[in-house]
Amino acid sequence: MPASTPSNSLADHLAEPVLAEALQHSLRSTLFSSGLTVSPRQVNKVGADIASAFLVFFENQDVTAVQADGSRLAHAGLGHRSILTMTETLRQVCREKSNPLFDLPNVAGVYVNALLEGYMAGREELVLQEQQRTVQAYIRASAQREDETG
Amino acid sequence: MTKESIVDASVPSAGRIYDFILGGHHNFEVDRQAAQMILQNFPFVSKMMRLQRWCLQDIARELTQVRGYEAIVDFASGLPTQDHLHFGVPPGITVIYSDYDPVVVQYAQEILGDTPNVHFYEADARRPEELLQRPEVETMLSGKKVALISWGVGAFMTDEELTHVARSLYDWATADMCWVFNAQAADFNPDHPAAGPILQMYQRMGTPVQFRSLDRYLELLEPWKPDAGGFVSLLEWHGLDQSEMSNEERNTFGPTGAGYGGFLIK
Repeated sequence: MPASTPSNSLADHLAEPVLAEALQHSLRSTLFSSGLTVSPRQVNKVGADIASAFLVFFENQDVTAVQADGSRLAHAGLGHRSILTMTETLRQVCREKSNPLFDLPNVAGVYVNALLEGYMAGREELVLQEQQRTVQAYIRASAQREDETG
Repeated sequence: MTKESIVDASVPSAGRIYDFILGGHHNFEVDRQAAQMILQNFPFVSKMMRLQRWCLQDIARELTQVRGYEAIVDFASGLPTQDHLHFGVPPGITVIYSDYDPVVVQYAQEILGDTPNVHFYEADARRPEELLQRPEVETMLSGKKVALISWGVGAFMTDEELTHVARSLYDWATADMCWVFNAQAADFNPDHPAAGPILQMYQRMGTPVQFRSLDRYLELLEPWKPDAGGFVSLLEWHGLDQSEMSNEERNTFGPTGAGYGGFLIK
């Protein structure tokens, strides 16, 4: 019987469905802390997308793309507790699956930092955008009301 | 409630309280203080509002992709953010939103910009005929299979207002149309000790809350009848169960959590 050799395929160490399931579970546990748009049916898609994006990042190390994903999650209404819980789950899974061939914890650290950076920037952008819209809406509504009342 | 008071940012508004509890930013300190008072007494309200709001895209998909409706008219829409109806419909479907709050209307029109086939009008959900009789709305809906939606607004209507709405929509609708309705906060226990201050607060804001059972809602909605699917609790709608609620929340809000939703037909 030939001696077994360690697989050099990442998929053998960190299967995308396993990671997706862990992330989906963490998102479901914080369902009610999210904003408007992330419904129970949608959290599974978010978890699957992040699992897939993390594995892509492992190959290409594209920090900018991860930051853009974080921003999109903010705009989609994912709550801060949800993203923190999900990213902690990602780190934990990567720690558990760590091995000499793949430096998963370190890659996860870089990935999570970029995702959170993008998320925070997205939240700030959203608040400022909504602030401006609110001011404009009040100005127009007040002017319209003045016109109507003479 | 006068239009002037809605535009006044120094007094709380039911719409902006709702926005804050759902995590939005179209609200002010006065609204956030009012929201905190509600949440201190009833933390479950934030869950209840999310359960309601999450239904919108499900409804949009069901109406257009399963039941073949070509136009949707939504009353008391609130802000058309990324979770709202027009994100859940295929291209070409007409979506007409409306809201009583002139600031929401202005804000909404800025969000929507030139989004094709999506429109937003100032209109009172308690008098739906006024929106439906606008010439431009009549033109847009002409020849189309239309679905009507009153979601998250039923508890803010008196019995008389709800009866009027049901009758107006019934008289307006053709046999192939439907009305999607949320029996909001049905089963809530109005005798709960913390209910008094909340009811008084909404009363002061000019938007008094009415609590009624699902059966009472259905009486008031006649002659509309629920379709074969009936009205389902919003927990069930989302595939959740009562484990999402504490015993205290079940005692206060009833086993359904946030009321029911269903499709009414002629």
